[in-house]
Amino acid sequence: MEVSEAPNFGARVRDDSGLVKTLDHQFPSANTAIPYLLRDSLPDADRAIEAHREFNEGVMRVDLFGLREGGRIDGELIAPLRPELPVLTPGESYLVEAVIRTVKMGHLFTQGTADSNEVWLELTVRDGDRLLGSSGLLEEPGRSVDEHAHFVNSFVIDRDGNRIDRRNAQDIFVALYNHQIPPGAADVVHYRLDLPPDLAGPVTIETRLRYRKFDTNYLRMFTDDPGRVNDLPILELAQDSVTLPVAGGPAVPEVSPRDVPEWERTNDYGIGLLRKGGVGQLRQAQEAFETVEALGRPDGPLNLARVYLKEGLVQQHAPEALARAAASEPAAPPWSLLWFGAQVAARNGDHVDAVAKLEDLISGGFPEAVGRGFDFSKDYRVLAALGNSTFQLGLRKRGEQRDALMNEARGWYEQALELDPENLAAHWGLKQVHEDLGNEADEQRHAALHARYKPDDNARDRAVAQARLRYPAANRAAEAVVIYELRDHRTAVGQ
Amino acid sequence: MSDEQRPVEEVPGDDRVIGQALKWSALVALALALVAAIVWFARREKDVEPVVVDRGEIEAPARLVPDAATRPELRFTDVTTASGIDFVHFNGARGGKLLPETMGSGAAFFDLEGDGDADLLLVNGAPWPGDPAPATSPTLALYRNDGSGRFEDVTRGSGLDVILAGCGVACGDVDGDGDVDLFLSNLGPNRFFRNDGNGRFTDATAASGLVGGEDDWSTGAGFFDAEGDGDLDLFVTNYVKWSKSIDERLNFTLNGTDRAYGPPKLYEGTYCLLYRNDGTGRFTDVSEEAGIRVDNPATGEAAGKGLALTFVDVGRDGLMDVFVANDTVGNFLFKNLGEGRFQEIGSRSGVAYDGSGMATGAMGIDVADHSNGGYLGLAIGNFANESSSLYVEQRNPWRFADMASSEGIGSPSRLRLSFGIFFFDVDLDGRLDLMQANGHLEEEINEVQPSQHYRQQAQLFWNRGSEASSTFVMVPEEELGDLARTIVGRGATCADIDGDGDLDVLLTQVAGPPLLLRNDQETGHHWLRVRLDDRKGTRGNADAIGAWVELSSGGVSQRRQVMPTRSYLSQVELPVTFGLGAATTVDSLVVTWPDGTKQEVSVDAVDHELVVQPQG
Repeated sequence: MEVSEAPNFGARVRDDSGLVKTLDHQFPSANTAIPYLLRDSLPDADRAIEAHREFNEGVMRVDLFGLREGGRIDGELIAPLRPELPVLTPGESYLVEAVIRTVKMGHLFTQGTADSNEVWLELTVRDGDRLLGSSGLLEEPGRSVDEHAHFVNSFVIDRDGNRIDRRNAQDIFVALYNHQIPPGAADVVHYRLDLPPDLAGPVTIETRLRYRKFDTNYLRMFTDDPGRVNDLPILELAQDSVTLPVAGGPAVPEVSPRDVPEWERTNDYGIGLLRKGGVGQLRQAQEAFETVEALGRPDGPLNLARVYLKEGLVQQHAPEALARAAASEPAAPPWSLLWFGAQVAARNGDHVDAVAKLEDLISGGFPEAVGRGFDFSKDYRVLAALGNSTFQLGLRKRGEQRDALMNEARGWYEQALELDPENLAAHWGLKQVHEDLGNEADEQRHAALHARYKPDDNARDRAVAQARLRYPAANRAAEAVVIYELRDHRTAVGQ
Repeated sequence: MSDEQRPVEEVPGDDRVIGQALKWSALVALALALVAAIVWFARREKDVEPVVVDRGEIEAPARLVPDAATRPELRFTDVTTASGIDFVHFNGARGGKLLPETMGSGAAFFDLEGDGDADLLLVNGAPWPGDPAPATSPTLALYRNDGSGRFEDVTRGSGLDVILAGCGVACGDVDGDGDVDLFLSNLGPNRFFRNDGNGRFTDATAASGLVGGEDDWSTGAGFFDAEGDGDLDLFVTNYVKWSKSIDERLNFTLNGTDRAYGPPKLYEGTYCLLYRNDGTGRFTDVSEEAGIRVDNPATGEAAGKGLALTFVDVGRDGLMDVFVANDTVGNFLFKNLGEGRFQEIGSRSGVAYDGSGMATGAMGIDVADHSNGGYLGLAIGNFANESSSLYVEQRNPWRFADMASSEGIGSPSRLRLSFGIFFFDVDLDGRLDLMQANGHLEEEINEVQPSQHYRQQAQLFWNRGSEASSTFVMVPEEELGDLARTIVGRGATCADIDGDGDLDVLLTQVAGPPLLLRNDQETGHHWLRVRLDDRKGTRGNADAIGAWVELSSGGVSQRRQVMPTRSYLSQVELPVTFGLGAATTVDSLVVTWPDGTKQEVSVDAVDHELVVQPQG
């Protein structure tokens, strides 16, 4: 960030000039609201907004990946869409499978002020020029977004289940849901499409990932204008469209494959399904990764192992998948094989192997990682897992051997805490290790820290229940698997 | 005066300044040298090629294959219909997917008339208010055992032919009249039935004071002697503050289309209940003064979401402590402080959370000296994709650690949603095995999770000794006969229904018939069953609940507790069963009665049931 002279409350001496200066927030990012709101006094407002738009080009990707028959998640998958195009049957129901993926960023999307950023997926389905259904269009009055759209946000609430929507971060207690996407990861959004029997065809499905710096609620709050129309600029972060023929209707032109390899599209789809909260969609994720494996990519068996870990299939399935991932050409990254292999071994009670794999992981020296800055000895999850497996080994020993292992476990846990002082597993582990070693004061200290940092189950449940009752759209969006209904927006502005 | 003799105080002022300056200069020079060294080292580091390790192919973790070398054949046969049991559980479900419909009901093996046989009570559900009555009236079901494993339905006219939104059952002779009374925990008011001694029961709920709250959802229940005064008190777990209207307003779904059962997380917690018996079967709610009302420190509201409980003297101080399995919040251990007062120490003792310090979806519970080593093992059945817990007592008192993964029940149990769970010696080899009844809550679970099914097989973990690499090994389902039938398992209990010495099993299921499974093990192992009879109440309660029996044979000591309250919503029989393996003699048998009195009993023969009464 550049600095500029501006004697406001955030200013301080930042260089040798001795002048108080503030950080210039006009670097390219996504804050299109400020230049827009200050456009009367900011001569370069349009240029600034354009700079933000250019900066965000290619950071996200949306992919109309496939359809599922019957409009249900267990319907047969027709994918990938393009170059092949399925022929739709009038009167039938389908599930439109849209994949959102982060492409060029090193943090969660959107992160930052995820409570008031407004990022949503718009989807329209047209029969020729006739709008069949839509989700995420702007609504009058006020150009608010259809509240039943899929938002890429974090719906955070306070202890009483009220939404955090006034920049009152001090009241944040828990997330009702979190639709943010980590770097290099994806999410899958389902839309139910009920085709009318009188289709003329072809059917065009279009989707856009749209971004507005502030949602209407927050804009109205800080402008103190309850009737304010949300005219803030909207950035289009990504888009996709596909036109499909209808049985008995006109043909559609041939299309090229998408500019992303099929295995990657399928893998992204699987990742989105694997990441679904709760029970999620492991069956469908498994199917996707089996396809990726059949396409010859090591990501297939590696991600299958992740599915099996989540499923609990660690006795046979996960070890076999990891063996295939290791033997494939090219092989899966060794650090991934070690990390997931250690988890499988630990769950199977083979803590000797788990420790060996984790120690190998933190020793580093991976040829494939040269220049990439990987250092797993700085990964607190790895260190806490090492502590846990070492502790488990200690529990089955007696005497000096036990004490030695307990002290070793303590070392790993303490290293984890150096990196993440609030790490629950490490505090709980240290509570137990110190108890075993007879260090009562340390045991109590870590028990207290565990109690302090552990999410309060009762308070969390109470807040979530109240929020689900208070916000019907969020109540629906909070489920792990959400099928968004498409609807006509006869009053929508449409832009 | 030489310089050497000069006191430090006499150093001229200038010298002091110069000396100080020199010291600082030296320190600065040293610091600069250090910085230079660091810079040089850092630059040198940059010049050095990164260390690269060629690992070759990474070895995948080993597959977990059950060791079949020493495991005997362990088969069970479904004798439900053949034995005369035609009960079918009713849960009132009509598509609304209301949480209570899927939590199931329990069962109890108990001696109805004092003839020594394991009779059976099956708890049933009820239609929702306003719904039509089902064709078959869903009353409780009472079956009398003829001693050979043949059961006769004696519900009608027994006083138990009532319809309750039933969950759990507790058995105990609360008035010391020599027969077993019954407490039924329900969604709504609870009920207490006094055994009149002739196969008939009288509803004595009002007189007993055990009705509980009008809107409570009571689940696990058990009789135990809380204060050591010789009578049986009652502990009841309540689940959540469930609300039909909230359940209906929140749209739970697994697949995005169909309604699913909602999680307990969306309801507030509840308090457990402790009732003190005045010795005649009249009870007083002493929960508050006993210290068992656990508040969440942040919300100030009830913290528990209890489903199951069991009792054991953890402190070896003659006082019964209480373990409570809580669903999605930390488990409780109520330490008995004496004089009817308790202190909750679940987190401190290590049993509140799993190995990563998080709460589990705990359902059923049991505790035993599973290793024959004097250390208690607390088993808890948990939700799907969570392993069952095995909290093993450690070298320091009141301390447990979850050893499920290293003791062989971790990964296999992740594949099941476990409810009923108990230790028993399935093959009479003198080591306690572990079994759990399984079944998912959601009929549609397989649409999203291929490893999960609504109907699930029970699991049996065979104890191969604590000297093995893991104490338990799961018996492959294909070797279990009808025990491996897929059911929507909930309650689980055991008894020797046919007098052959080995323990038979009964599993309950939601909206279906129970599964009565005859143990067909043919190991030829010898056994001894011990029934404690203290109907005169000289050594505590009439059923000797809480007594320990220690048997030594062939160099192995086994300790077993008389404790019907185990598992999930259920009660097991009172007699304790010892497997003797190949041994044909018993070296010693010592009974520790509930009042702490030890009694040595001579055993002249094996392979029979021994009835022991207090001496004197």
